[in-house]
Amino acid sequence: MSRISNAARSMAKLDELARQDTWLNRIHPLSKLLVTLLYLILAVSWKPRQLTGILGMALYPFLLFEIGGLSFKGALYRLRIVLPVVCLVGILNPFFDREPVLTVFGVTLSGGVLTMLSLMVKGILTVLASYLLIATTPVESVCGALSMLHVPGILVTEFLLICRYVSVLLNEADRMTQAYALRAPGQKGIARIAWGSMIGQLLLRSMDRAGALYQSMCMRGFQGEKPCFSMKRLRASDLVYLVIWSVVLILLRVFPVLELVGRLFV
Amino acid sequence: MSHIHIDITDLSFSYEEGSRLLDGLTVSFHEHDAVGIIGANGAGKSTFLKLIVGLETAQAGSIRIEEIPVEKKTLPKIREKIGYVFQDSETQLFMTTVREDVAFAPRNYSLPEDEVARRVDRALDLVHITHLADKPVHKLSGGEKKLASIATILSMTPDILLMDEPSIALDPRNRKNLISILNEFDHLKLIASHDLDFIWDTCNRVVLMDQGKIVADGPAEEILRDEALLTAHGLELPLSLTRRV
Amino acid sequence: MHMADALIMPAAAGVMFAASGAAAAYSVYKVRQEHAPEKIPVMGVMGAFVFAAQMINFTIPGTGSSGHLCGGLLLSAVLGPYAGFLTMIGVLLVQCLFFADGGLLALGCNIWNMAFYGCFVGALLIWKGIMQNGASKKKITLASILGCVITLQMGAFSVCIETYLSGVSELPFGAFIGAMQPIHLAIGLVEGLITAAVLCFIYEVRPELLWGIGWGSMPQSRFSLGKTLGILAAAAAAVGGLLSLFASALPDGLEWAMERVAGTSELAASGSAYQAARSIQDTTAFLPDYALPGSESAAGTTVSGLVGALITAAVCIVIALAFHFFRNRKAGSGKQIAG
Repeated sequence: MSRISNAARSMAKLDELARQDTWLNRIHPLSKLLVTLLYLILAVSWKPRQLTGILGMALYPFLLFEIGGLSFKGALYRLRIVLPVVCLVGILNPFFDREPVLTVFGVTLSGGVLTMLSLMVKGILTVLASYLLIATTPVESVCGALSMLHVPGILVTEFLLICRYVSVLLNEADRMTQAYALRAPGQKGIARIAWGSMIGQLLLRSMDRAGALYQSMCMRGFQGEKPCFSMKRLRASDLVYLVIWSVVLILLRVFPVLELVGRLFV
Repeated sequence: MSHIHIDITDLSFSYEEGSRLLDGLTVSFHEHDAVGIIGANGAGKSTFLKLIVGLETAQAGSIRIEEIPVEKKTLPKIREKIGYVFQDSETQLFMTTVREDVAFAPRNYSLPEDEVARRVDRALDLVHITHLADKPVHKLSGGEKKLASIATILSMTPDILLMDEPSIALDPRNRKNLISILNEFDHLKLIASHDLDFIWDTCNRVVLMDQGKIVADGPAEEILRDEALLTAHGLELPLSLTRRV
Repeated sequence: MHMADALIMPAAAGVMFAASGAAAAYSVYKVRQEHAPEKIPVMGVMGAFVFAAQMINFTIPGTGSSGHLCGGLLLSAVLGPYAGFLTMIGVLLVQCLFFADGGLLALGCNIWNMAFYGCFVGALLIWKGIMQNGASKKKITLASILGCVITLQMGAFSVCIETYLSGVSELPFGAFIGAMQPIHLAIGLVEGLITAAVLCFIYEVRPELLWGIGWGSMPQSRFSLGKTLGILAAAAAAVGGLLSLFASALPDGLEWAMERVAGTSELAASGSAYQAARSIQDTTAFLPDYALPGSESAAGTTVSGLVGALITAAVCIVIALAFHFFRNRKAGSGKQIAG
């Protein structure tokens, strides 16, 4: 399967997930967005050697994946982009930082190993957390939340249109590359002679499409920046979600919860 | 309510000097007209429709809609009265779900949210796609997209409906569905198409255009049966009529 | 070049968000000034276009590998730097949310590293500078290659700084730079060539679409080359200064915030924010990091901590299994009733 259709498919898959009717999907997008941001800030703020603290933060994605009935498989698939980069940055840490910090069950962990592990755990947790947001929130709800945060209408409407037309243009690009490949068998990519005209044609068609789109928007009363998607009101349950998770996450960040648990046994 | 009508006098339009795309059109349309604007490719049908709603500006002549002249400052008012269904549903539907898209116009006209919801439900009901309301647009079939496009226009409760090649890329069933929906809309409608069978099924009046001029204007019964006239201007008898004859 | 959330600290993320936010606010202001509502759909569709174009693979002559487009300069050459910048923000947001390509928290960094340099330096400075006295295919090629190479180098350098200041890697700064810059030189060249090919094509077919072409005869715009350079330098200095201030004084901005909320330090009144931050750091440096009294290690990871993690994980898994068991039973009984 080509890279292009693959991208279109994974986007459609996320969209489908986000439109399911589960309790997590019904939570107000603003609550989910704020909790996600808070989580990311708190998770990332652990210092490199504080592995147990970071592990404690796993509670949030783990619980919500379970309760929300999301599969880890889809989320783990997204890690293929992030993990290699993160590993590349962290892989040399054990060589540079050899100071032994801790001996667990006879194995001595050096500072470098701890920082490398914690970097990877951070990488996984942050990706899971953003996945939780987008896999339970459709695009127009994300836009609604952004509007409520006073992101300018230009940006929000533009973001919505990008999301709407990505699939259309991906299909167009896919057809073009297929048509090219059929007439240029055995080539791996697009040869240099066709670089300009290929992308250029796609660009011109996109500009024409944008022109037609503007006409169609004008015919339905478009006047520029005004947000024109539904914005739900925050209900009490949305606030409860926001408050409870904020408290839990901050507690997880402030108290070494895992260590307290461990001390009961060690 | 004022009587719905469009009066066009001596309308001329060209993209560049020298080549006239539309040349001195004079015509009127009235409340219960269902007008088929027919003509071969390049006859100027789409441009004609776009001029009526001010998406293009004419070099000469005037267009009046219910006595309001079409000019820059009256456009918002005129566009509230007229619904325009574009040929390409993909550009007509720019929101992510059908419901959001149908709600776009009423929201832009600052209606309260409950009125918006009422209008959306009614528009979806009129084209029988209530079941598609929460479906993402990119998942609709070609026929569903066309019906959804019409719903996005009906939610504005327009007095006048303009459609550009509505029957393109529809399978027989969707086509039949669309015909019956159009026949239920009893306000003034203008349908530009070279699909004469479709026009035969939906229109009671036909305007035949060729090279920017109106060459015939009359009851659909007459013009669509006039084989000599149609072939002279690059068209052919509707298939359903050839079979019957 | 997309940075993941794991690679940055909140302080660095915050500074970069502020910097990118300022650039975005200014761009919104400039685009609004144009009173051109038709730009919004153009930005939306062109954003989707860049996204799709990035997916197309190009054969790089002489090598077996393939390259692809990034798009900041290309977008700006068509939409102008301000609308181009706002469009790139949308593209980066889509990449981050739907493809985990770059993190949500690192979005500020990514906007800065990729969109800001590409649109502001690439288009406002290099493209506009070269096109000032009329355009030609040669000039377009030169501007594209120069623009892409320089902005990618700047972007790569920023990635190094942001990662380094966040302190997640033990890699010496020099080694990091040594790895990043040459790779991005090659990437920049390829991107420059592709951008040049596309823009030359547009120049041939529809030159009126290109931004800043044929401005030679127009009165000098308010932005002279020198002034633009000055503004950019000031912006870079401000961001760099802020970033290093936070990095040196606040390795952990959050810690600082918590101190303030908890009110455990009386430093709020002791002068400038910098001083306050500095002394908080000095104070907290002697405190064990969230360690319990009597804990074996001040480093933040302890044996009991790891044991706790194992036990908690075990408990979670048991709970999850139970959850699944009951859910399945519930679903099963539901079916029975229905049947």
